[in-house]
Amino acid sequence: MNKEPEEKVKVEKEEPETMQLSYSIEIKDKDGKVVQRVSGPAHSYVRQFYELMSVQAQQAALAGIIDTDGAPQTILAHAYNFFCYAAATVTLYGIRIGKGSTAVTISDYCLESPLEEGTGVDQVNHLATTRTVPAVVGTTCSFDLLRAMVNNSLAIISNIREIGIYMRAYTTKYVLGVRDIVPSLSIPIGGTMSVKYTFSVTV
Amino acid sequence: MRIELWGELILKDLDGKVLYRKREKSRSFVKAWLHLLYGHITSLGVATPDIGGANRTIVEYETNFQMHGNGGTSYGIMFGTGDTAVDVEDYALEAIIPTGEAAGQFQYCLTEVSERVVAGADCYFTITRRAFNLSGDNITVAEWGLYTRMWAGSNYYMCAVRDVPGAPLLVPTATVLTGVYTLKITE
Repeated sequence: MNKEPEEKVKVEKEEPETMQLSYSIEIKDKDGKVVQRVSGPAHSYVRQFYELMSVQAQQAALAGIIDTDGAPQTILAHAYNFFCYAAATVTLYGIRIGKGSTAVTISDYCLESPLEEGTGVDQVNHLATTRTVPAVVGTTCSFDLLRAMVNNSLAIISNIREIGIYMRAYTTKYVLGVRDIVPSLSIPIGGTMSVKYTFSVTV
Repeated sequence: MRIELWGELILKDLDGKVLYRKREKSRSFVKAWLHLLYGHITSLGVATPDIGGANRTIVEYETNFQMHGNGGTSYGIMFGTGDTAVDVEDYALEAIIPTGEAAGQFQYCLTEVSERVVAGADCYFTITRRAFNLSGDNITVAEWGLYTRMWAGSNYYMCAVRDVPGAPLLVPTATVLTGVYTLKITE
């Protein structure tokens, strides 16, 4: 039997900070066979994540936070800030993937070219987010946030170059919290791309 | 982009003369901080130790993460005398310096959180608190950290950060110790 080797890509290591974020991507074909894995440290918190943090820490409204449509919003401290545990089909918040390849900057406010929900060309079906509960191993405490996207279109989706997290902010506003550029990836017809972000703190 | 936490301790006399100043990278976010972030990201409750060591099921809430304000020894920057090495499961300072003007006590001011600043590839905000030693005696600070509010059906408080500097800092009477944490993202 001809067995094609699964491709693994490991992005560079670096000295961890006390608060870290890393990603891991797994692509499976329609039969569930893993065809590609990519993992690495995320370089990717962007300005809005920080702005939400400052709003919560200060308990004061902050004007001029750019939402995912590029519009400035005034955000207040709120229970919904940071929420991204999206149900199936939801794309206003949650883990997203896209085809943009422009390097991440601190002022990014959306994915450059996000894939929309659906079964048309360059569309994916977003499944419900899953997670692990925080756990301590050695000097690190971490949890995972994971979402799978299925290619139910009639063509391979290629040149996927970006991943990120859209977060809810102050009731019904949505902001980009995280964006990463990844090696070029393709989802076969009927295949699945699973993106896992791992949030952790290390002392 | 990555998140960095920096801690700076500044000791001045009551005339404002700087007696000591040291800034270094903190490596000491602890478990409860991540739990609080998890609670907001997922909207799922998670058992988290409060500063008394009791587990509370925290949920997302408006006042979570609050550091700003007159939090006494409940939230904001705190100083302590314990020197045990930091553990990710630490839920409080080892021996917090109580508020007051008696021996072994600091007169804490409010904790101030700045608005976020965007400067080039950096975005940051600072958390600052002053503590006066008016006790008439020296106080040795061996640890400091950051407490925040957390909601678990009512208000509780959790330790987000605990740092044990390399060498304890002697804080003479009639001085003011300022702690500054800078939380930033940078390329």
